[in-house]
Amino acid sequence: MNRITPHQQLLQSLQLTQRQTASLNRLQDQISSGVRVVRPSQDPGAYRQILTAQSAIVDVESDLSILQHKQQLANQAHTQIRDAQQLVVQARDIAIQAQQTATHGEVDALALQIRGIRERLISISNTQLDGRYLFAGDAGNSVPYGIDELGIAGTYQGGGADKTGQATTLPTARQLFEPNAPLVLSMTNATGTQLGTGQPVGASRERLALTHTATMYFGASGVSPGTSSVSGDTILGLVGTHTLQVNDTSGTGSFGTISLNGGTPVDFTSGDTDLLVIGPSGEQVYLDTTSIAAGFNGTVDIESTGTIQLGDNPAVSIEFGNQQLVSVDGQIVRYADTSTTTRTGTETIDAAGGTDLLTALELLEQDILSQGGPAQRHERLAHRLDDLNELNDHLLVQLGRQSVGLQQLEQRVTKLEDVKLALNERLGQLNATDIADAVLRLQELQNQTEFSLATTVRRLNISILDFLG
Amino acid sequence: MAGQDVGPRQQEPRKGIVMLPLDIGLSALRAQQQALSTVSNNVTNATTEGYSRRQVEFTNRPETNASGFWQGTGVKIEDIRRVVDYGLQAALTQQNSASVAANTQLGFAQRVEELLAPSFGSMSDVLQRFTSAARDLTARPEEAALRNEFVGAATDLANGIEQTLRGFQSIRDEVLQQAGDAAEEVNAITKELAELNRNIMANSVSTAEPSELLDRRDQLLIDLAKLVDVRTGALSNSPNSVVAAGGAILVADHAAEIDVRSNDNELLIASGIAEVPPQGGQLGGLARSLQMLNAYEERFRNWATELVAAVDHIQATGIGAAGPFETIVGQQSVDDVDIPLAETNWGRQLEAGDLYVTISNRVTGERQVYGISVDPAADSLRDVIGRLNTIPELSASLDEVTGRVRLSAIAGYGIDFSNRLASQPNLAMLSSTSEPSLSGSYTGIENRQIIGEVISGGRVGLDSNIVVELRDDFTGDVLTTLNLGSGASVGRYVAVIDGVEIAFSAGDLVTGDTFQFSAIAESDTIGILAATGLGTLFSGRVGEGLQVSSEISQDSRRLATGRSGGITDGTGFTRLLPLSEQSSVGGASGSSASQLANLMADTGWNVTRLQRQQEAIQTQQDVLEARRSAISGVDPNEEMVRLLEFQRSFEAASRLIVSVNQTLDELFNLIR
Repeated sequence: MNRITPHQQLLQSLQLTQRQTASLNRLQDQISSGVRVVRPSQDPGAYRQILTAQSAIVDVESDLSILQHKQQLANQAHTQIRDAQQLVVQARDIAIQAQQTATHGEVDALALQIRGIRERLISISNTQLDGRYLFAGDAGNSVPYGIDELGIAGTYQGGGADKTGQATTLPTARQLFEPNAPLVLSMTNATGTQLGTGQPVGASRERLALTHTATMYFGASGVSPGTSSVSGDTILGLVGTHTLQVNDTSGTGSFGTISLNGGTPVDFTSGDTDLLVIGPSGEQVYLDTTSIAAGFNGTVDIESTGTIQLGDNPAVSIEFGNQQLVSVDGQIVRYADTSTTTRTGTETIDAAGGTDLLTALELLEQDILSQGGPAQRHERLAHRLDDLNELNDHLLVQLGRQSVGLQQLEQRVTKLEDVKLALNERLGQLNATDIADAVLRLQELQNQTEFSLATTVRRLNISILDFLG
Repeated sequence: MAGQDVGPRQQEPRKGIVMLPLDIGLSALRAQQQALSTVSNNVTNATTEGYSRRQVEFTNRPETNASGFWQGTGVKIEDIRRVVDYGLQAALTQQNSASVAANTQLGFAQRVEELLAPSFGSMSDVLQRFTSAARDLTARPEEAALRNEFVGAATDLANGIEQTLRGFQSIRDEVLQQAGDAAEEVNAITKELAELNRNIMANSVSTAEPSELLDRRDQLLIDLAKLVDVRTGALSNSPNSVVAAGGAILVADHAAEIDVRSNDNELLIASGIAEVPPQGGQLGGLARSLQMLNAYEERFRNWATELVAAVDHIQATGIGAAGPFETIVGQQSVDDVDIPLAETNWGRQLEAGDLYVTISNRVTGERQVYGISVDPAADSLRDVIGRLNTIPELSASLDEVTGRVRLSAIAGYGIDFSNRLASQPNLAMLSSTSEPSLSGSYTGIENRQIIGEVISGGRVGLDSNIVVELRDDFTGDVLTTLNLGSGASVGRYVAVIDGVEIAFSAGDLVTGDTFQFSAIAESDTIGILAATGLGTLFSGRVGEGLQVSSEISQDSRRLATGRSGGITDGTGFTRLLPLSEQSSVGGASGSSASQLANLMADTGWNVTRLQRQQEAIQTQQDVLEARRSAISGVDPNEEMVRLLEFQRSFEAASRLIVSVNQTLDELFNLIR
């Protein structure tokens, strides 16, 4: 049997009391702070999970904050896009009204309204929120459509697609106002030139100027270009496009008649150096008939070359085929089929679809004010109406996308809030003090300590000294 | 105490038979008196640390032959024995040594735990705030307030890292201080032990066992064991000898002094020429604490270094609202610019790879991308500078004094290391009048050199069958084939590969012409930007005054939140987000946050392990202490019972003397 000394009992009792006090202290800490694990060593396995949960909660809170900011931006964008769409509807109504109006006063007023709408649309595209251009994509400090001193908006100056956060919901002004639809062009037919095949670039109304350079007469007729031919001839075309009919009635080349393309014959003499001959369609050539071959009666083949000029860009030679015309800055590309070109003149290539919103309104303003005939004006306004309908549809699609985006954001916010709640519950399970349990354990430990101390006292009280007389 | 008798029947000087009873009574009185003294000493030392109770052993005195009969002659003290189990005492000494070692290590493990995972403001919180600020910036990079908050969080991160490393140093200093103090204490104890050994030897020869000295020696051994591992009786010819600290200390009648030395990794006890690591006691615990401390510090330092390098890399390879740099100066210096980079003092693992530099025209916005290849095993910093100087519009130099790199763009140009595409491919091999240009952002995951070749030429957008092939220069794989003939849009960008768009201007493409461009996923595969500190977020090194670069502190627009150069581009900092991803798998390959969480949790596991170890040792020690107490401890009740017994025996002896005296009085009366 082991001897147990009172000193040993006391030491054991002290050790037990110390442990119980430490446990009591920890329980008190847990109850006071509400946190179960303060240090990793209190529950290393749980501590790792607690850190994971805490980290996830912070991330979720951060994501929520980002999404809420996105919601704010998206709501603002949605409002602005809706306003833009309403403005397009107004512009469309004005275009319809313009088709039925001819008086100067009304036309001017309608044009002014269109200009106002355009300015408001530019203002919408340049909307700022918290110092950021809403529709400038990743270049939030750049004005999407800068306005020059004349109040004319330039090309889109914003950045690429929005690259903030995980949810991309903001369209750029380019995406809003410049639908990437293929251009549909129409062209006047004043020179026989037609639209060529190829993918045009740049939505704008472009003027094509076809001018005459030189006329050559083939065969042994002796006809040559008159002194005014270069500047005065209006025919263009390779051999076969135009013909001259020469009849030397004198038999000596001294006089006769000449007609162009079967038009009214014109008398000539061997003294004419700049004879004007006009064809049935008004085309004209200046001829030198001083050297008509004696007795020549027949047809003369003609080749007439010229230049074609896109807007203010440098003129290029007419190739009498499918011809590519490119502006100096490369922003405008048009294709002209000059194989059917017959005469000089000016053509207008109009965009009848696929134009951007600001250009469409600019064209609409021009067409409302245009001085052309009613039919031409009506036709142009019809093109503008097509443009506006297309743009209205595009904006409605954008509006729909924005609504879907907002819905998705809302769903993500709801989902993240659920996740956050679940994470908080998880964290609570891992780290929150179960107060009831802790209080009970505290009470239990307290009782145990009291019993322990009482037992120690009782045991130490037993001494032989008490029984010694 | 050994008696002087040789046997119970030894002949003693003959006393008168009449006087013998008085002599017997006197012997009893003397013996009980001494026993009472022993009990009294036991009772008064009941709580004395290291005291072993004494037990009186009586024996009868030798008989004498009286009238033909052998007659007892009384009692005497055979021995006052020190009740002690030497084996148990040795075990207890060892246990004390282990216990103190475990306690010491536990204490420092708790300090490390508190350092790395304090209740509030832990590095995990700081890192979380840093990545959270980065996350906010990915959504709103244009907001100055958020940028400043990020700079603040980065400053806190740098400070936190430095403070934690200072904390490690402080604990290390404390370990070494305690080790020094413990060594002095060891020297004092061993000196006292040696002296005690001499006294014990002297006293053991002249008289009986010197209990008090032995008690004192046992206590000193325990005290010594609490400081260092101890082995007693190691020398067969010197039973009192003590070997401590794995042989570094030998205590017999003399003891050599020891000293404590520490190298980078361990604590050593030096005595003469021998240097041994202590195994037990406080010094053993301190040695293990130092190793543990170094291991945790190394993990933390590696973690911080990797984190800083990753953040620096992301910052250096992005571009902020302030746009490209006119001049950029490296934040880190190198001690020798002519040795291979791998041998420099950067302490970072550089890899052979490429660095791509983007040179932007500030007026036109046009960009060109140039790449240089570096092999750290062969190339020195001077070589790198030389290669950088081959890039047009760029001037690279080296400050020979500070060892820092300086890059400057010529007037009107800017430098950055983002992965933006060049505005135009390299057209050196293109004679065509139609020129390609690039747009978009490359989203692929590997760097590519892309070669474009005109397979079939003609007028772009007009002629039929114009074919351009884009190939991966390295693999030769055809990435895409473009038909640029009739129907193709002149000047309109078309997507070709992973976010890259290409457009061809109006004009003719000549068959066989080629052009080339880089699609860069990672603009610095060497790691040289972070190493040189070019465009990095932090300046200084981990543990050597890490702080946020003053350029960024002063102008938060320098934060490389994006990669495209747009102010609302947050894709640059999106690359920071994985740093905060928590993975339960974690490990060395996990995210920074995971690694840190594992490190913090590991300190907890370490403390828990040491607590369990300490509890196990304590339990064993308690058992040994209880056993020692059972054998050597003083029970006052027990002693009081003995006291009563000896008291009664004394009274009986007194009565015996009185009775004998009365008998003698009777005899005396007969004579009178």
